Amino acid sequence: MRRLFIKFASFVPIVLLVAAVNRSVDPARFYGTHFLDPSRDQYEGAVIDNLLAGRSQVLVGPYNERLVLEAVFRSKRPIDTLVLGSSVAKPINGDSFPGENLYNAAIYGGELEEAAAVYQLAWENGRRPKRVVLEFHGRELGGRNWDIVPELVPVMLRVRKRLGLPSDDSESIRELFTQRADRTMPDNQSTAAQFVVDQSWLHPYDKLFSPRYFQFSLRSLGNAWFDAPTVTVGSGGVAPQPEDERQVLCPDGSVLWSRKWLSHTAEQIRQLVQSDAMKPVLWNRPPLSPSHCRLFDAFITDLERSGIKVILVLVPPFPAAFDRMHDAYARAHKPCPLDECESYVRAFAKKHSIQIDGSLDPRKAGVAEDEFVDYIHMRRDALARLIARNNAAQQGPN
Amino acid sequence: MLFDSLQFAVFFPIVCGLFWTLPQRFRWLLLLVSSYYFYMCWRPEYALVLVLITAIDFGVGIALARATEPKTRRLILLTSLAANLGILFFFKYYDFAARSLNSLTATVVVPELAMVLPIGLSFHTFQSMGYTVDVYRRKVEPERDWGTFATFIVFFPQLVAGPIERAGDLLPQLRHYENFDYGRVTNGLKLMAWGLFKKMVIADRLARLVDPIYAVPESQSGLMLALATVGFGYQIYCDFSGYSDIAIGAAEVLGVRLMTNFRAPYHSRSIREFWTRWHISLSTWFRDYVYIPLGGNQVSAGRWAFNILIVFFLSGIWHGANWTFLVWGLYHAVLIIAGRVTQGFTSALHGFSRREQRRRLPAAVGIVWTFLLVTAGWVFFRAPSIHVAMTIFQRMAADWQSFLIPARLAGHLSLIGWQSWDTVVICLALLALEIGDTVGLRFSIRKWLAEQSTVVRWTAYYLLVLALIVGGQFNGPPFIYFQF
Repeated sequence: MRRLFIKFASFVPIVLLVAAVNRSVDPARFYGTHFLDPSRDQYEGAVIDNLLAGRSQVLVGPYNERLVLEAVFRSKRPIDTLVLGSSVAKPINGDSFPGENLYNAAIYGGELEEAAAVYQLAWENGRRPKRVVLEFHGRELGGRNWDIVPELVPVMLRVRKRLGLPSDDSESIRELFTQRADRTMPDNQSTAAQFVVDQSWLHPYDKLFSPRYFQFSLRSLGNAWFDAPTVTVGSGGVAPQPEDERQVLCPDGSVLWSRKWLSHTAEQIRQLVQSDAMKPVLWNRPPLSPSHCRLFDAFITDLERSGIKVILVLVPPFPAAFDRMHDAYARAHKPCPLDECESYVRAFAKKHSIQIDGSLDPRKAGVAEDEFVDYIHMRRDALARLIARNNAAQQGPN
Repeated sequence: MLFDSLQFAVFFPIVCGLFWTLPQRFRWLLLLVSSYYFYMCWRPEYALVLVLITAIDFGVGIALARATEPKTRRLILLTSLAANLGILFFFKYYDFAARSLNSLTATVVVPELAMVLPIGLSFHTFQSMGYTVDVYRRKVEPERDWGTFATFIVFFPQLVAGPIERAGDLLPQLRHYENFDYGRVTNGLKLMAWGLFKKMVIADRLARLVDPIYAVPESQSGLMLALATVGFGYQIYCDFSGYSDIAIGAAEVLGVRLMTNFRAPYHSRSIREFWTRWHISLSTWFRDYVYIPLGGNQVSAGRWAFNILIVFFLSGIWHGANWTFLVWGLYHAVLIIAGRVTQGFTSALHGFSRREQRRRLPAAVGIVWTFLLVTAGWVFFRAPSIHVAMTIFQRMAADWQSFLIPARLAGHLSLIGWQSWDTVVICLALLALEIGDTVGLRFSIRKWLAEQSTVVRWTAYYLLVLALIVGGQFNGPPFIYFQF
């Protein structure tokens, strides 16, 4: 029997080899290092260093926002007000909430799932802000409009579990993620995505000894040796953006729009709205989705239970875009999803005495065409005015 | 529980550790409990089927021992056969029969029950029936210890996919277990590793080639279908023989010797020889309990042909409740009958070659010809219906030329997710398999390896383990024969 144990022990070097390769190559980036693509971490590392040092960062391309957010949440920087939402909310800054330590944690392409996931990251790092500002632009409660943000998928699963949402909802996240992986990610990223979704209770340490992860590591290593290197400035290995398209990330997490965006005139945006390019974004919007409404209800209720004040900021689209969307739905004899979303949110807010700033209807919100940089994104000062205007007008819960 | 799962990797060492430390008198209990646990990991409620089979055949064995009247004995045997075949029919063939009857009459004469087939039912019912027939024939003594008998029915290494053991071979080994023997244990482990190699490196990788092509055969070219069919030939061989190797190896670790189930079947020179090397435990079961009682080959040529048809009809239907399996069985019966009819011609060919001192050539021709015939038969085995099988044969004859351009073929293979890396792995693995099969027919590789120096042995072990880790498919499909 002892001989047999010695024999088995002789295979330990193979196990160690597997662990060593998995740890050092780590193609899905579970262990914080990335042997094959160091520039990615360098980029995010620079963003984090500048943010934490109170300096602004010119964004030369997309980056892993989760890494940056986690670093901020782990830092000692005080956060009283946390802004959640999509790129529409990116310009919201400390000027709208004077005297408070604000951090804008809105995510590019983010929807309700991402907002909840970002709050979960903050929560997991012990953050309990006094106030959460949740931006709405009208697509959060229907089916998803944009691809899911892959870095946040594991967190989305965790937040659903914490909020006690049905497992079917988590399955839908997995499905969305897999669809995205199949459609848009190159083979390696798609495989990495499968490992990210596959979360046992030992995750990610189970991957250290996983032969499947070992095979993936070897394949990635092979690709790195035999394939031509790719430009890896931003997340996903994309080339740097032209200078006039670069945005600036401020120390409070808010964003200054690029020169190109700021140069857009109302007339240009109107032409854009009339073109077919906007069709997929503005029309054929799905109705309210039960799983998204469940997430919204559970998420806001959880914030309230934690004693956090919630402010919902409804940011309208460009007036011509709103009109075109309304006309399209009226012709199809269907209710406009923006109206449905606003009604749902207002009803919920009334029931829970939650403050609402703005409106998804640009006229009700009192915004003008020249306050936009494109068909959904408002200028920084205009967004601040929207919040201030409604704050002043409402003077309390909606 | 699957042999290639993490669950089994934890379960098996625990069972072995307990087995070797427990006193002799408790080992049957450990094996019985662990075998039931092994089975119940799939569907706990179906363990009742095992309990029922065990209870019936244990009682029948005792009753046969007590009965002296031939008529009474026959009646008792028939009770056992009816019970076993009844259970088998109910779970495996009832829906098929109902579906066939309903489609024949174009109305719902009998409702379908959509029962889930208990895993490995055909294997353990046949093993159990073999026991009662042997007791009836007085070839074996009835087992009077219910624990031993229950372990005989559910012994976990061979419970769900064989080999189908004979009572005369297995029962005595379960009455008295052998103690720990280092050589035997490591021998068993080596065989298990080789079985895992066949299953995970070859069969599961080939499944990635075969499954997508067979999923939409009507849109595939002839070459792709031919590739998939040859691939399936190797897939099913490595899947099933891999399972058998793991089963035999696992039993050997526990000190129980099971029968060989495969002996390089693709090295056969005729279909008849193929059936002496493929799924040996089933073919010998049919030989002993069906073919010989029918008269075997000690009858007229016509009656012999009839016997062969009966045996292969049963063998086909044993595999599954589908017309495709039936056709597959009858196809082999026809090939065996045709082989006997053309025996004169092949003998002449051998004689010619002997005179010319070129004996190897006809042997190679025979091997290739048999392989092609067997491979063609796999189309029926793999296709979901006869209609699809015929479509595959039709399409296999078309559109070869354009795909003979390697780049185009590689392009089509990559569309189904098959990469050049897969081709490299599968070619190396098949080479290792062929070398293993060829050498294995002449002498025992495990024995040979045990006699080599430490460096040679450990190089071989490391290579095998690394091949498993680097080339294995760790999320592959379950064993094909589980469905039978």
